[in-house]
Amino acid sequence: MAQLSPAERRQIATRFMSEASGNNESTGTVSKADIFAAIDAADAWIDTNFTAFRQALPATVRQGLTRKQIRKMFLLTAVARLDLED
Amino acid sequence: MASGDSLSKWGARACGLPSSNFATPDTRNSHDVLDFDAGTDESALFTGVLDPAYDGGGVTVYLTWMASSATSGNCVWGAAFERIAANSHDLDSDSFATANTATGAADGTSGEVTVTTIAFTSGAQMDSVAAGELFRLKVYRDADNGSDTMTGDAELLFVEIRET
Repeated sequence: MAQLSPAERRQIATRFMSEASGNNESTGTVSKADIFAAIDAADAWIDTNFTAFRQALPATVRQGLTRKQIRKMFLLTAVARLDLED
Repeated sequence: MASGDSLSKWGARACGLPSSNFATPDTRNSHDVLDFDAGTDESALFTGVLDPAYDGGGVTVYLTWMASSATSGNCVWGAAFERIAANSHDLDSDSFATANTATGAADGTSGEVTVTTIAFTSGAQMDSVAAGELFRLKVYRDADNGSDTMTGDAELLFVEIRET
């Protein structure tokens, strides 16, 4: 699974900061560089662990769905968990 | 005019906006602000007349702003002058002088303002704007500057020009 490009990761970091500002969410003393590094790490972690995620799914799903569909399954589940805790 | 006297001033809503990469008008507890993004250089334009009593000794631009979400980090601000005088230049294109910049630190308490100043010497740095002349002042956040470390938007409340 390929990682995002530096420009794509920067766009995500920019969007994260814009949404935090728009929602009046505090980012405390976290710096911009910290945010960029966190997005880099998140992208790398997903890339590293995507195989393990696929292996956790039922075999019929692994074999019957495309990789993009499986990524979408991961995304939808992650988004739904957004407000589970602070 | 004496040093420190006010020559021109604007609230956040008294600005013009460029056609792209513009600061976003917003409010914070009913205070009008302009939001400058953390990831992309954005600007706002302020048109005014330099007070006829300007003494010619250079000016200082005062930017009053606050951090939208951060309580630390630095914000790099820039400002540039564009003289608008009779028979001086075609307004269908921009003609700003080279910008001067300054770095301001976000206040450690959310909602409290920081005042960042940018100094200009008389003459070329001010695009040779003279007392009583019309001008535009471009104010921008140099968000992709390595020294701009503050996360989130910078919210500009007020811009003032004072005699240096």
